[in-house]
Amino acid sequence: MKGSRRRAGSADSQAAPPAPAPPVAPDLTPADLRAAAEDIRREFPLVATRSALVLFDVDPNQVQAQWQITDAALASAIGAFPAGASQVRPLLRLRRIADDGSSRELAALAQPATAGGLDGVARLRVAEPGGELEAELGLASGEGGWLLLARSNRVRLPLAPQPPGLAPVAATPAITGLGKAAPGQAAVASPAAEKAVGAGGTATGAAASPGEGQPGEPMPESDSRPPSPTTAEPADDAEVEPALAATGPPLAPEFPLCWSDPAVAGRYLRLIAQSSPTEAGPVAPPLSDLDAPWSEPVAAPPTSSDPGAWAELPPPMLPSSAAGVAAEPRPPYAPGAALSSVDLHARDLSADIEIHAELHLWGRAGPGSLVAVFGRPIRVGPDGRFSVRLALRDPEVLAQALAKGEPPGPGGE
Amino acid sequence: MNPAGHLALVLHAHLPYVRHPEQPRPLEEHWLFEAITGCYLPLYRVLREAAERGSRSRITLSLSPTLIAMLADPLLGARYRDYLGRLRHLCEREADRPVDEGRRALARYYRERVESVSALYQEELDGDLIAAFAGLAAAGTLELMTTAATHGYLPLLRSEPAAVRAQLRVARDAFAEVFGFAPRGLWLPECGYYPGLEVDVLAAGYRWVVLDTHALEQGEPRPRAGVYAPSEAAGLAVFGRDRRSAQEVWSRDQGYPGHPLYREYHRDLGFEADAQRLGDFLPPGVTAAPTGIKYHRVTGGEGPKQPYDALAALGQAGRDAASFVVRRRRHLAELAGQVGAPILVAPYDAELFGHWWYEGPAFLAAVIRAIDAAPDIQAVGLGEHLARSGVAGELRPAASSWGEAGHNATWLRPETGWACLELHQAAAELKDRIRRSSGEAADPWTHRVLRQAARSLMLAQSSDWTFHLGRGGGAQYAEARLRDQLARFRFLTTAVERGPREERRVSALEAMDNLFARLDLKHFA
Repeated sequence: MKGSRRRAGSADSQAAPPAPAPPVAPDLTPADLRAAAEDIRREFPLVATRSALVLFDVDPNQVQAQWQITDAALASAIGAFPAGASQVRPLLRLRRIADDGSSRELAALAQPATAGGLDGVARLRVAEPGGELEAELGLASGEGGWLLLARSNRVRLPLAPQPPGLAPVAATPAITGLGKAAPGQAAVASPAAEKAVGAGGTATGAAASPGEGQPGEPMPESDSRPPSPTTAEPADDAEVEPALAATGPPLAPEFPLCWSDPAVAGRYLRLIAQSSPTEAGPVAPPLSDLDAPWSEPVAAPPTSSDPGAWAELPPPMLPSSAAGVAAEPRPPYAPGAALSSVDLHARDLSADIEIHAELHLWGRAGPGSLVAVFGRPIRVGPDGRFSVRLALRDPEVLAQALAKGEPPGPGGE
Repeated sequence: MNPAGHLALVLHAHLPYVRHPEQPRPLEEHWLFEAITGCYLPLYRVLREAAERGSRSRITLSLSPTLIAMLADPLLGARYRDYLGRLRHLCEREADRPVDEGRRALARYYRERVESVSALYQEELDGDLIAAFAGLAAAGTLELMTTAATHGYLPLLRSEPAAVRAQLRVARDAFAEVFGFAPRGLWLPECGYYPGLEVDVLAAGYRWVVLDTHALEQGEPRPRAGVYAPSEAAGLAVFGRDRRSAQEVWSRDQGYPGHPLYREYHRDLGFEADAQRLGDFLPPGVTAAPTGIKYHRVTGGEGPKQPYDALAALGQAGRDAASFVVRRRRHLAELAGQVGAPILVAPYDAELFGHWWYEGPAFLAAVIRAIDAAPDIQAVGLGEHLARSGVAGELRPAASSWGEAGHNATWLRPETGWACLELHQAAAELKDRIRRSSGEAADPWTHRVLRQAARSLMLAQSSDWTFHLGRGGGAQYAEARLRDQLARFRFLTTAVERGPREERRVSALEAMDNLFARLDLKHFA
C-alpha cells in the first residue's frame, strides 16, 4: 500500500478563496435569463473603449498586427499637430529590436485615413526569421512629424523554418456542428442535406450541420480533407491476421454498447444476409506495401505481468501516488466517485491530512480460469498468473494506517 | 520479458461550453449529448472491459474543464436523459417502418444500442461519467490530465501574460476540485506552444505536456532521441507526437476511418428524413440536424453509398487495430539500440473515437487487446513513462501547434484578428481592475462581479470560436458565442460601478455561465 500525506497551506498551494458557489437564482426563469442575455447583447456591443495595438506571430515568417484606436484618442492626436501640418495619415511601423535595445525599421505601411476611430489589421512577411519584433501605430505628417498612437507587445519569432514536408494534421473540431469533415471522410454533398431548414432552433440561430455547410446549404469540400477519401487503402491486414487471432475472442461481443446478447448479433447478421441481396460487399482496395510481414510470432495473451515486475514498477499516477498528489488538499469528488481516497479532515487528528491507497494483488491459478477478487472477475492468463490493482476505499483501514504513522511536523511531508 | 518500448495512447476530450439554460431545448447541447452517446460512454465501456480483464495497458485521458463542468452539470444530465428518450422513440419508429428488412434490422440495432447506452448511463453510472472515469483512474486503467480552462489557444493569448496564467491555474483548480488531486499532465490546447510557456506551466504545478513533432525536431539542441523520449524544457517534461501513428489515423489518403467498410459519418437520418419521420427528436423550429442514425458506409468510389454492415465494419476495426499495433511494434524494434527506453506518443481527439469514427471504440478495444498480447510493447500513461524512464536531455522546443502549417495560422487569420485583439483588451482590463480592487477594503460585490467577468472572459477565449470564425459550418454560433461573452464581460465591468442594482442581471449570468465555482481572481492579476 502506498500513501501520501499533504499539509494544507503548503508553499506551493494555490488554494482558492473560500468563496461560495455562485448563488443560485431560483427566481429566474429561462425567460428571465433569455431577456438578460438579450439586453446585455444589445446594450454592450463591441466598440473600442481603449486604444490598443497587438502583434501576433502567424508563423516563423509572418506577423499580424491588429489595432483599434478610440475616436477620442485619434481626435486628440490629430489636434496635436500644428495647424499647417499636411498629409496627416496613420502609419504602421514594424521594427526589429536588437539585444542591445536598438531597433531597425523593417516596414512602414500607410493606413487609410478615417474620420472617426481607427481600426484595422495588417499581415507582414518577415524575410529574416528570428529576433524580436514590435509594431507602432502613429500619425505621420508630410513635414516628417510623428505622433505615437499605440505601441504593440513584442513578439519573438521562432528561428525554425517551416517544418519541411510536414503533412498538416488539421485541427478538427470536437463535435458535430462545429464541423469539418470526419477524418478520412469527405463532407459528401448529400442531396438531403440541401433541404431547407427552419429558422433556427436556438437563441443564436445556429443549427448543427453535417459538415462544413450550414443545413440548407450545399456543403463545400473541406479545405483540409481529401476530395475522395473513400479510396483510402486499408492497412496491411493479411499479414497481421495472426495478431488479430491472438487477441482472444471475436470482436463483435466486445464492440461497445452493441450486442451484449450474442444472439442479437447473430440475428442481425442473418437479416442483413437475407435482405441485402444487391449488396455486393466491399471492393478490397490494393494492399498497402507500407509494412513487411511481421515475422515474430505474437505471444498468447498473458493477463498478468511477472509478479516480480510489479516491484519494479513506479508508483502509478493515481491519487494514491506521491507523484500524482496535488499540492494542496482538495475534497475528493464525492458522489459515487470510486477514488481510492478518503477525506480525513473531519476526524480528530492532529494534522489536516488525507490519505490515498491502492492494493496490488497477484497470484497463480489454473490457466484460463476466473478468479473473483472482491467480486470482480479476473481471468487468469495462460501462464497461470493473474494480477490486479484495486482502489482501497475502506476508511477504517486507511485511518488505521494513518494512525500508525508519525504526524508530520511543521513544514514536513 | 521487458517490453522493447512503450506506446502512449493519449485521448484529448474537449467540448466548448454549450450549456444554455435560457433555452428549453438548445440544439448546441446536442453536441454534448452526441459525444456522450457516441464517444464517452463507449470509451468508458472499452476501458472498463480492459480493467476487468486485468489488462496491463494504461491510457492517458485529457478531460477539459469545460467538458468536466458539463458532464457534472445536473441540468445537462436531465436534458441528456430527455435526449435519450427522444432518440429511443425515434429508433423505435424507424424500426417499425415498412422498409426493407436490412434497414429495419439496422434500426433495431440502433434501438438496442440506445437502450444499452441508457442503461449504462442511468442505471450503472447513475448519470455520473466523471465518477466513472475517476474509478478507471483509480483502477490504474486511466491516467487523467487536463487542459487549459476553456481551451484557450495560449500562443495567441500571451500578449497578455495574465490570461495564460489564468487559463492554466483555473484549469488546475477546477480539475483538483472534482477529482481530488491536482493534474500533473497538461494537454496544451491544439498543442500550441511558444518559447517561455514552460515557465508558466511549471509554475501552475504541471509536470509534462505533449508537443507536436516539429517542436522537438526543430528544438535546440536537436534531441538525439527525437520524439521517442521526453525531453526537459526548463524543468518541464515535453513529449513529442509520433508522426507515423498520427498519420495512420488522420491521413486524408490512408487514414483508417476512411475505409469503405466503415460507417459514413456525413449521411445521417437527420438530413434525410422529413419532419414527420423525425417526430419530436429535433427541437422546435429545427428541421435538420444529426441524429446519430446512419444507414450507409463509406463505400468508396463515386457511386451511391452502400448499406452499412456493422459486423463487417467491426472485422475491419479488428484488422486495422492489429495492423496499428504491428506497426508500432515494428517501429519500436527499429528504435531499439538507438533510444534507451523509446516511447511512441499517439495523441488523438477523444471524439474521433465513436463520434467521427463510429468504429473507433472497437478499434481501441482491439488495440488494447493486441498490445496486451504482445510481449514487446506496453501501453503506458505519460506520467508512468516519465516516472520509469525520466527525460532524455535538455531542450528548447520550437514554437509549434498541431494546426495546419504547424503554427498559429489556423486560429489567427485576418478575419479572426478582431477577436484576438478584443480578448487581449479584455484580459488587460480585468487584470487592471483586479489589481485596483485588491488594495481596497473587502468588497463582496466587486469580488463577485469580477469573478463572473473572469468566467465570461475565459469562455470567450475558447479556441473553438476562433477556429470557426469565417469557416462556414459552426461560424455563426461561434461568433455569437464570442460576442455574447465579450458583451457580458463589458456589462460586468460596468456592473462593478453600478452596484447591486444590477443584482438580477449578474445573477442571470451566474446562472447561465456557472462553471468554475471556486474561481480565484488572483490568477488573473
